[in-house]
Amino acid sequence: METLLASYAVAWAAVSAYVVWLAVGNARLSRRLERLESHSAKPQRSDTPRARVA
Amino acid sequence: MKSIESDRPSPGMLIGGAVTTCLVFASVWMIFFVAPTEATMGDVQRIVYVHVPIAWCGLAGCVVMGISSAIYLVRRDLKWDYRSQAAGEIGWLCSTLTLATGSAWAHEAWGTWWTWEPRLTLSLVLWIIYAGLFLVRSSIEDPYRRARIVGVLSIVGMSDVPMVLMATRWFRGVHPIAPEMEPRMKLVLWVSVISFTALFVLLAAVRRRQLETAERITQLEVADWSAGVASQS
Amino acid sequence: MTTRPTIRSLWWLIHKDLMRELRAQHVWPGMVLLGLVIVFLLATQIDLPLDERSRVGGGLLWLAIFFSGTLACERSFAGERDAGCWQALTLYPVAPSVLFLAKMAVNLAALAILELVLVPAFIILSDIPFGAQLGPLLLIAALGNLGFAAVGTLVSGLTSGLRQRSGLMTLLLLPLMVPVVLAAAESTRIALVGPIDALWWRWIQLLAVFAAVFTVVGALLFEFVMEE
Repeated sequence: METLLASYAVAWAAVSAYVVWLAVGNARLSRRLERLESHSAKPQRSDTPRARVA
Repeated sequence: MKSIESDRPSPGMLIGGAVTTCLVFASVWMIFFVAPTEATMGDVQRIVYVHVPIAWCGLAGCVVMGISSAIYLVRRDLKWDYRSQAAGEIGWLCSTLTLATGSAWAHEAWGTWWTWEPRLTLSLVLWIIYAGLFLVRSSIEDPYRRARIVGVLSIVGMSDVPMVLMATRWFRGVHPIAPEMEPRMKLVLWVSVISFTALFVLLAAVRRRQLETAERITQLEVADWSAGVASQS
Repeated sequence: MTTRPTIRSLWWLIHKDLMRELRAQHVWPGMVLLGLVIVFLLATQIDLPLDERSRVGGGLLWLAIFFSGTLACERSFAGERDAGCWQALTLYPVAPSVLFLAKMAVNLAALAILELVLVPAFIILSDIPFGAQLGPLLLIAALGNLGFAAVGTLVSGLTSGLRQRSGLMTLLLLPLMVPVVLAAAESTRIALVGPIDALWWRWIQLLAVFAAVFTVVGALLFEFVMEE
């Protein structure tokens, strides 16, 4: 009986671990996407300062 | 510019996820409460109801991996390589669990965790093929080169699948071939096969989408970075 | 593509590699030496009565052939890679499958030479009577070599450009070769121990199927190997 429950537990744990890993991966991708969007929303830095013409 | 699809799951995937979850719960309930207890082995025999579906998925994963790679080699669309990679990961997971659940069953039925009979040996070979392909994947950085090299190897790797399938019929061994099952047992087994297959197909689809999204985000990041560099020079 | 120029290119490619090997001896001596060392180690370990030795001898011999033969296959493209001649190989006006068959033929020659040395050595060291069933054993060796050379050439072509190629080659080749090694070992065991029965023919059929499938698949897929 313990063998049966142990095998089911192992299978369930392995699949759950994979699901969690997928979820963490997706969360990381969301964060990268947000960072990209906020970065390009900022106004672009201007070019190197030009010398002032007198 | 931010034309990348939302990373929210698509409606199809949500429905698929809901259906699959119901199926899996139903199947587990049936395994424990509908399937009759087997005469010789007792309750431990119920391992069969996870072992068989997972073993089948392990084999199917290898075939899907090989076929997706073949399509990639013809079409050169990286989307097919992502499919192949996802199938490879799920397939390897299934192969590992097949060996684990099979060993547990073997310990109860034969008194030993392992024996070098044809089907077990060839199943272990399949596990090693999956693992070897992972190693090759991780050692190549260029996605196109990686897809090509792993692709050819995946196609050759499929050669083990017919061997595993036919091992019990062609060669003398101790692995059960197709034991006589009561109708209720067969029903539970079929439900398990369908629900576990649905589960792994769903996981593979999620993983493939994640790979595609990751690649697109990387491209956007690189474009963003080089735009940033260009604007400073 | 007409046949005669193809056969001529095939012969020329085989000749080129054979000449290079015979003149400069890059690979084959090392391969044979490795095989002898493995055979020696294995033969000293099977200190068993005759019938048990006959049962395990075939398998051990095939293991020795496999591990040393992998060395030859691994080096089949390394020569061109290391000398920077890979580009030249891709530019040859021959079909990739012809190139594959040429490299495979050279590897077959290497395996034949390896077996010519290892089998007598193993017979002498392990004291197993192999001579009784020479015909069947030759058939097993021929088919096994074909399957081995086909997969070995293909995998070698693929891994020759990778960074850490040496261990990877054996890691990839081993699982793919298990059915072939298994079939060869089992049929050798049956040939040595018992009568040639239906099971033996089944193993031979398996060897033949793998030889045919790997050769065809290798020839077809080789154009994808030659791409870079």
